[in-house]
Amino acid sequence: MKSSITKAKKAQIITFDFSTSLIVFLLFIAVFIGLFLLSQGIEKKQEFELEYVFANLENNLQYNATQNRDFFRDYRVNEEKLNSFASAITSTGSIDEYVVGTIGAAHGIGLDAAAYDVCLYLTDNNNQLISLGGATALGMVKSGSCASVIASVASTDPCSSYKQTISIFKPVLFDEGSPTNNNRIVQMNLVICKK
Amino acid sequence: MKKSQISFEFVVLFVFVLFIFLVLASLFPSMVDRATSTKGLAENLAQDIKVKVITASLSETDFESKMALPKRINNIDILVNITGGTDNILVISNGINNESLARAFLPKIDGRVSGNINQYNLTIRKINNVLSIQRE
Repeated sequence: MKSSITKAKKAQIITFDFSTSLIVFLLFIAVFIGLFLLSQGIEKKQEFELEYVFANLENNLQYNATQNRDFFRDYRVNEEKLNSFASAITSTGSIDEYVVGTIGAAHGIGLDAAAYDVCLYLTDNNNQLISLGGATALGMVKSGSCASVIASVASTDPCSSYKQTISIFKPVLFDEGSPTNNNRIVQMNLVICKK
Repeated sequence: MKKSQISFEFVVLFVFVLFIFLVLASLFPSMVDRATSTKGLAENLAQDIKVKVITASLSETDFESKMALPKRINNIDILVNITGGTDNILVISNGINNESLARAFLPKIDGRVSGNINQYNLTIRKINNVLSIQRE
């Protein structure tokens, strides 16, 4: 009788030990996997397609229904055509389709313009904004036109309320088309806000 | 039962479980690394295809580029599925369990995406402003 009670107790103790070890084991596994996954970190990846936005803008301008608005070609910006483009897009305000999406029969770069807002502006060597048909910048962001946002929060991020900001620039020859004005190298800036 | 006996059993069990844990701990990173490197290679392949399609899409003249796709990466059979129409998407998946390894959105393919998923030679064309992909 005494022997059977001892056996039962022993069995019970082993089960308890085993359960405890199992719980500790599972906790270890959970902590280990958790730490491992956390150590991987969250890598912020910019879509590599954005490298092609200048080429996409240039390409899209060729497909503009109305001619004389293809202001950007072969690293040159034509002021007259730029002014024409700027006055044409004033009604809608957005240039997302031109930079990220597709216009007319163009094929695009595989990005959806609805997921991005874009600002375009030109700066000279003194970092002064160059007028684009009367405005300092083209495009729209959530908080209003790029011109008003850039003017009100000078040298800060116009995409501060977005998930991610990507700023890309390219040196271009600004062709003012007049014998009295010399052509000059300026910087064409694109600020892309990811929604 | 003596207390020392109970402690001994606990220690034996604990060491046994710890041993299993260490074995798993040593295998786990290599399993994750393998999965990550396979996905990384698949993403590189998807990017290579996408670069060629973007180059074709931005070309102002007629363009043609050929590309041979691998059947396996990291000892895993892969399937490369390209869908045109309104989707314009490229999906690379594991050929055994169909797990998605990489995907990429492509420029608008207004021509045909011809051929089938078991053909591994791609020809990307833009002729008369019509972008098409042919598999052979």
